[in-house]
Amino acid sequence: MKKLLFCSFLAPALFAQTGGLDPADTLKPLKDMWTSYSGDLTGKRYSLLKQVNTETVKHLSLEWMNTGIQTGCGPTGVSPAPAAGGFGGGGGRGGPAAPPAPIIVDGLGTGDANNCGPARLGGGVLYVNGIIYASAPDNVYAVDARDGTLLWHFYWKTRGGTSLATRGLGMWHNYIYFELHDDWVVCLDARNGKLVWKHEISSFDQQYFSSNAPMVLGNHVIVGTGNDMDSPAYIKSLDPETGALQWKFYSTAQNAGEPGVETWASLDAARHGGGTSWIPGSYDPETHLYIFGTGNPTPAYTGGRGDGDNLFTSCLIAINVDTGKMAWYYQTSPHDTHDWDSTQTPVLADMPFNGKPRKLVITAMRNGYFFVLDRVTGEHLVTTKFGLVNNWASGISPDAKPSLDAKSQPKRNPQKDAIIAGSLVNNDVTNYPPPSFSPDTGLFYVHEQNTLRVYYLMDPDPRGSMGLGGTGGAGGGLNYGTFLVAIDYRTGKVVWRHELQGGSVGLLTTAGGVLFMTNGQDFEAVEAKTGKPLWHSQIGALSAPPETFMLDGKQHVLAATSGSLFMYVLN
Amino acid sequence: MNNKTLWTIAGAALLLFQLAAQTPPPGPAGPGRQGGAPGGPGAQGGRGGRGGRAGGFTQFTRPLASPDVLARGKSLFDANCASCHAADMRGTDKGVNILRSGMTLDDKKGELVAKALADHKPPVNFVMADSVATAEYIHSVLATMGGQGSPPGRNPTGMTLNILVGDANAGKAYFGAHCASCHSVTGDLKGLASKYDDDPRGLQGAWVAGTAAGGFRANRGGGSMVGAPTTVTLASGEKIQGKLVKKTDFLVVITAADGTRRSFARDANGIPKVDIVDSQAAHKKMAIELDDTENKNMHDVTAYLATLK
Repeated sequence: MKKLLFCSFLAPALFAQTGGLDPADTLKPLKDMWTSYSGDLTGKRYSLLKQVNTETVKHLSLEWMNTGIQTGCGPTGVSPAPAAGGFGGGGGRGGPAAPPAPIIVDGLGTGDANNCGPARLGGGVLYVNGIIYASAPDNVYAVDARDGTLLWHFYWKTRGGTSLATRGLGMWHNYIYFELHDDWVVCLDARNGKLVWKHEISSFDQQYFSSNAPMVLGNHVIVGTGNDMDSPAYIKSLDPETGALQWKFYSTAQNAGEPGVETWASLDAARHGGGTSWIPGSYDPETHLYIFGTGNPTPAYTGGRGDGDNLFTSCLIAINVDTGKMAWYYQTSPHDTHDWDSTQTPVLADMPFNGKPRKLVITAMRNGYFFVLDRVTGEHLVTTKFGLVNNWASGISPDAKPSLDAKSQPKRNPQKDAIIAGSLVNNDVTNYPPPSFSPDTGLFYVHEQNTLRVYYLMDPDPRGSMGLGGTGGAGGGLNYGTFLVAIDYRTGKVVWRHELQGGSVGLLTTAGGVLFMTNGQDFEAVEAKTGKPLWHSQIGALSAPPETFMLDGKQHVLAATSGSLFMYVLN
Repeated sequence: MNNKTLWTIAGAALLLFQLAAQTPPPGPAGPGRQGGAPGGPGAQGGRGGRGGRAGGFTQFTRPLASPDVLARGKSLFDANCASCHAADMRGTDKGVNILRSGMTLDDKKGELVAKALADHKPPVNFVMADSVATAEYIHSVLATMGGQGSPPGRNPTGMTLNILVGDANAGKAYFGAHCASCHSVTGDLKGLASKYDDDPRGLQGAWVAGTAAGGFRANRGGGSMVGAPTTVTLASGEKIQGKLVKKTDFLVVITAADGTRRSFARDANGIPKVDIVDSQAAHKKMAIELDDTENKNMHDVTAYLATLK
């Protein structure tokens, strides 16, 4: 009887969810579709496709483009002055105009806070069964992958707040998941864009902003939220069918006696200590561990947190998705004082290490340190420094030996904090744009930016400032260049650097030996082994990482810029 | 009516005047209310296009209470709350920071603040109107916060921040050894410090970056090198000079001396070769040599240059 009840409880849900994306496909290596933020759940952004390779990439040609993807605005979502192509855009240029795609409107605002204009397409653009699902802040679009025609457009009337770029979408069967910046996550019917359910992730009044890409891991939808107001940081797991809360994981202690509270000045400091999760992590289906990074502690640059490590901010954390309990952590910036989020996408790879096969997690952090760990246990394997002028925890030379603690975590030099008289210190060495790892080359690819600046403490109050306050700069900026960097995962050493003209939105490598990226105003392909330029298309700076998948037996490559999608195929 | 009451009334009257002068009028957000909104002063980038919105968080858009309610709230807060939570609301050892309290942020019209006060230990004997006025005053302070959670004001504590902590004599010696080959304190840097009388941070930033003498400020990579002197060396060995318009892995464009626009395709080996004169190159090298673990060299040189009035 018990079993019968269980079956009858599940039956309606299963009946409702046929078709669309089979969740089992999200666990497959990246090849035919692009089903989550990183394409697959490993974070490698490495596709097994090889039709487009170092020899053939020169024949990569534009199949279609849609340059008329606009954000919704106002009460109805319709722009007062439609751009060329308008909604629907008619697909590729030259075709007959398609009827406007339906706009599905929801949200708690009036529409006045939504900015009109080209859609800031960003994050993970999904490709499933012939349909592209793209997003911009407050907007989701379904696009026919064969000609770029807009099929439907979901528009959310926002209440405003902090507007980051969006990190994209998640999908489960025929459900699309999307976070709104004013702190809701919506579940949409992938077939028509209509709202299925919505869940409030966090309090808009407490200045949260939610831009993360929902990650669908088995029967869990993981959502994260950002905050610069010292409000408690957490991720949530939701039921994919109903949006009901399954568990909630706080980055820092919220109650006396919880792990890590001893690393803070007080329980109140821990509660308000930051560690937000605003970039998706990666997932190991064998261990059910979701591995993700937490953001900087708050107040970010000043005192008020005590002298401890401020756990579990600026950490790589592994959580069992079935329980919401932490399995292990590794702090990449103990007691961070530079806004060194550790939210960079971790890469999961099964590779030999010291002669033995290992299940690895590899990451290059905003602080300019590269780490390799065992992803099952959290055992540390490699720490190295990258960046040309990375001096916050070592001498300024790239070859200077970093100062590491007993866990091989970098030890900051307090004199390189923001201080009243000014500190000459490096800026972010990399940031949120996702890296790529090719098992073929054994190289980890990441953007590297090299700048020095003079940073000042403006709020020396011993109570500490709040959020990202209390500091400021007054010139002194020196830019030593932006590079694509290839790092050997076994040694952590930089194998080559390729100078870029700016821009970084994320990388893609393929079994064809090609690395795709944005470089200035070019969409560019280079040889993954050497960084040698192979191909380019002057479509402007990309706004989302490039992607590749199969459509009608051909490998396609997708690029997004503000308001536009470009589909490439071999001719 | 005792003296304490008289002083309270007098204080409230003074406050009313101050608030009337400083607080934007109630109603829709005016310019004065937007300072702390995302994208406003104090906001920082770096997270992928953080931009302003027509809207903003509740604290910046909600209508403020009338000046008399705010004056009453401030008076109540100062008399009953500030000793533990601090007059600036950022807390003390005896009371938490109220500005980042989820309860005060979520409060709409005093309902949550009133409940918190009713449960408060030690007891706070407020009638509902007192609680509402206190809540409204807290909301009025929250409305003045800076971007990304910064407390109100760029230097919220008003402390004097002296950046001239270096040894000017040591700085003079360093300057002589490292800078004097290109710069002169009686020439291009004469009277340099007088340009930065208002804030020596500007002086320090300018000399480190190499802009103190009015030099061309260029950054390596990206469009910021546009206009820099450039030499394009063709496979034949021919050299063509001009000012940079664009350089990519596949293309270089310059404007020649006669104003002609010249573009050249580049091959996978980077031919034609492109050499760009980076006028910041000397300071980039200098900054690496300058760096030390305690910023001493930089502070010393700044202290010396600050004497060049």
